[in-house]
Amino acid sequence: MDIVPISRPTRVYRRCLSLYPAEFRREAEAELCRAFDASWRDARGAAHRGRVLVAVLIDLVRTIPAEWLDRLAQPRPRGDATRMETLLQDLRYALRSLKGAPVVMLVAAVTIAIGVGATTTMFSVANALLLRPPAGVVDPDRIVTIHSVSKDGSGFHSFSYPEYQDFAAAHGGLSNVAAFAPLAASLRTGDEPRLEMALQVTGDYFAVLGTRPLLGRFFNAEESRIGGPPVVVLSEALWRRRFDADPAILGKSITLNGQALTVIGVAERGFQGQFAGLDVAVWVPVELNNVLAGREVLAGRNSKWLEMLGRLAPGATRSQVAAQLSATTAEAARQAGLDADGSVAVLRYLPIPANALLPVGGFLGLLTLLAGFILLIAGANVGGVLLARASTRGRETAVRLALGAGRGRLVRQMVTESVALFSLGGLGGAALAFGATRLLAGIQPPVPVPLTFDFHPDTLVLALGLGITLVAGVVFGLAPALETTRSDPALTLREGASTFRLARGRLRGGLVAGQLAGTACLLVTAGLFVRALGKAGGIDPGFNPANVEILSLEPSVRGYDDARMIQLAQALEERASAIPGVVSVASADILPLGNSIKETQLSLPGRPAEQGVGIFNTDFAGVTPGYFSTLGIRLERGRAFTSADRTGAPAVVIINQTLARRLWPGENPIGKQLNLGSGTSATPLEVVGLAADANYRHLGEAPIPMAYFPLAQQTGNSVNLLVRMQPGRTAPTREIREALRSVDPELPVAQAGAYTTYIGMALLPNRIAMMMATAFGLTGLVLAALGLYGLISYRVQSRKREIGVRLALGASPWDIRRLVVGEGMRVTAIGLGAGLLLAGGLSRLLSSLLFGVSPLDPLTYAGIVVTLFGIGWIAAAGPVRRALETQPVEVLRHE
Amino acid sequence: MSELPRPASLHPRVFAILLALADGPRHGYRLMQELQEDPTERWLLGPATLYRTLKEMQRDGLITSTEGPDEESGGPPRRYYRLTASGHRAGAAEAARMAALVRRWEQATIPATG
Repeated sequence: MDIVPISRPTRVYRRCLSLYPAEFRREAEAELCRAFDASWRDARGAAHRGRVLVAVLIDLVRTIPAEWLDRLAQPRPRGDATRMETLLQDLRYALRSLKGAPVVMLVAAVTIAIGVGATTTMFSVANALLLRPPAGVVDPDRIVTIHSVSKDGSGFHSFSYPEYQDFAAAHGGLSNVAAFAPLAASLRTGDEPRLEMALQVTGDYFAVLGTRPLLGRFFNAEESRIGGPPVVVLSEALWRRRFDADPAILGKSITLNGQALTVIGVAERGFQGQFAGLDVAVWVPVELNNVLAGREVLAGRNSKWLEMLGRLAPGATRSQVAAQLSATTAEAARQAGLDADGSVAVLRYLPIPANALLPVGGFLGLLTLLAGFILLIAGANVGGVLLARASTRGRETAVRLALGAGRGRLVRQMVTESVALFSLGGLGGAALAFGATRLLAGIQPPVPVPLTFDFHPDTLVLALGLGITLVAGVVFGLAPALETTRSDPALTLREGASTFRLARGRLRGGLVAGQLAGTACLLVTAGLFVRALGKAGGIDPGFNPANVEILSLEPSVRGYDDARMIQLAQALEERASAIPGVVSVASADILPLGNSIKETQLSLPGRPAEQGVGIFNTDFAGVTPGYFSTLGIRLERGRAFTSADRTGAPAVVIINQTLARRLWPGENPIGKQLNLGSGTSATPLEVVGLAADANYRHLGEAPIPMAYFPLAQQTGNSVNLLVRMQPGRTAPTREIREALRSVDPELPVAQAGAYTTYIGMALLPNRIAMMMATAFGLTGLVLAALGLYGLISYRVQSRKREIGVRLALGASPWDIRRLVVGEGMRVTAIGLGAGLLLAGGLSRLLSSLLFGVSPLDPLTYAGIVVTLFGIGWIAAAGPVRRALETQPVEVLRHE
Repeated sequence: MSELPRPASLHPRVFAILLALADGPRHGYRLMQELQEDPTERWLLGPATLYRTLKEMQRDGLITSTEGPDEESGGPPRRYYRLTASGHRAGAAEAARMAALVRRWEQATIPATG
């Protein structure tokens, strides 16, 4: 019985009814459709219709499982198959057919596992760094980070403590505001002091993030004011590692940077603060900074050293908060008689620092792209395998079509087979991802802070992996399925399946070409990285790190002032130079390519105070007299520092060539005067030396300006001892540590080892990208070669008769060879062309990682072309031999 | 039809259907409309749920159904549902139970006078 006229929504509703058991549908379909149709027609307005839809949806969700449960409880009806029963049937059929060709299917499943595993791993990393809030961070959508933006548009500047106080008093749409700054902490529990990561935080820091203490409590108001009691909160990991999870830790005292602090709480398990991976061991009140860091920066409005974050009050938006805090800043600046020098930006909270988003996101994007390529190659490869299998079953398919099996049913069956295969591979991929993320978490990236990552794939990532697997299964199963079931069964049966094959050969060729294109992209990327790293090895950084040992210290953790820091450097240098085999020694507050940067402003007396005219920005470092000889930095003119350039002596500076060119183009800078800083607070300096350019921030960078000051006149926070050894001498790591112990046994070592290792770490991202691209590229190459081989063999097979006829008519072996190889080469050329075009477009994204190697480096591209054509040739060799062995008489007799 | 054991309480949806059918037979869609527009309950009731409930009530002997001509729209014949005697009794029993509950509530919340 039918209902007339039937509306479109009702048709959709009837579709939905097919999810019920057949019996229920038979008895109730008409009535239900009629009721739905009537209520849809009677519904007036969008709201009413919405209500009807909601009611119907709830209705379906509630009753479909109930009906199936009722059905299962009853004796099983036979005959009429429902959709779900069909699905089960298809699945059984799929598993049977997969079991029929175990090796082919196993290879296919492994291929998919590699693709899915690679993409899932990348998603896990991206998820951990960019999406998933770190442990203990609650309701991250309401957390914001607060940054100062200068008038010139440069952003992400820090704040002073008085500015924090202004913001905390104003609130401005935030329910909590907090400031924090990292602090190098020397913690002594056993025989040797260890350097740990500490975070100085204001009282509301924990409330902003929403974490709760595991033991005790966080800082109260009394502890959050200057001069408050010295207290500390431990991380759960530190509490476990260094204090054996002592439940009676509260109220005990620990010694941090030489100060006794009372433990008042232990943070919850896994809580590391707001940054993913940053391994924070203790939290102390910012207000203890004078005591713990030994610097008076709390009161100064110009001491910008704090980062800020806050939690949005209910109903407040980021732009409102930004406007209110900008107004607060301007007002405070006006009251202090200063120029308001910018505004406040309020950004969404991210588990990585805001200024790291671009490089980290870009790098992850690149790796994800590489992983995506291998997934596509794997998918296309398996698609080809499925197609090949489908064509061997061409006759079976044709017979089934001729016997009246619906095309839809056959397609569904093949897609089910493909999805089952992909699911199997997806499981393997998930296992791979678990292993790979564990491996990745063990890598310590080249940054001077301890990191602990948790990359494990969570539900979101696994769901994504499942989604990808299923979509790939459908996509790469659907194409062959549609193709195989397209032709006219009668024709296929009559013609011995040869027309059938022609059409399918084209799709298969396309799949192989796709694999070759993806492979070409991966290999180009790998090739560019190999070239770039080769070039990086050959880059002259302008100094010679070979045979140099370094020892990095943070004397501030022991409350050293400038004078003691200079004494420390001198004492260390004296003792180190006594070690046998030592050529020269030096110290510096900052090392070239050491992942930290110091910048300052120089001004020229008598020139207008304008950027680039009378005011210049430059990197700078404080160094001792032996610095230039120890690092092998050439002095072009003038002299190096001497021990006479000390505190109280006339202030001097050595500048590099780039800075000299900017300050006095074409002139001899020696003896010229300039000022450190600008305006009234500037210190006059005399240029005594001109140093050759070197790399300071990145290997292979374009030359940047650099100014060197005597360490005795310009002390920094750190002391790095540099010890140059005679070539071939073993590194005196032990002796250097002993030297330190004899000077100050309480001072922990931040970093120690060969300078080359230290610099080499900076190339880690490039190495990771190269390794991934190479591994994926080679996997892709093998898969593509197999695909190509399969394709050519198949084409030879299906043209056997033609080849036989040609041979019979006197074609030479060369003609046949050209026929077969030409076929393979055509597919290779198409894939290669597409791949190189794509690679040419994408490789531009890499240019910042390539050390000046052009993203269109001709050598790399030429190498890939030769490799792929070579592979094409090899893949064709077997089929060519078989084609030549064809016996014309044999073939023709068979027909 | 056998005598129904008196239930402790009926499902509110079942009672609502009994109530709607108390003043005469209805076809399914009318029933759904009335329940959805019932000012005291405003059931968010879908066709399949109603269908299942009606089927269960028929099985329990609370209602019966017959096919009859569609007088409103003149379309194909519809299935009309009507109360059985035991449906009537079950509804009345439920109503009495509810009334008793109301009385007890009032005694518990209104302070006794004298």
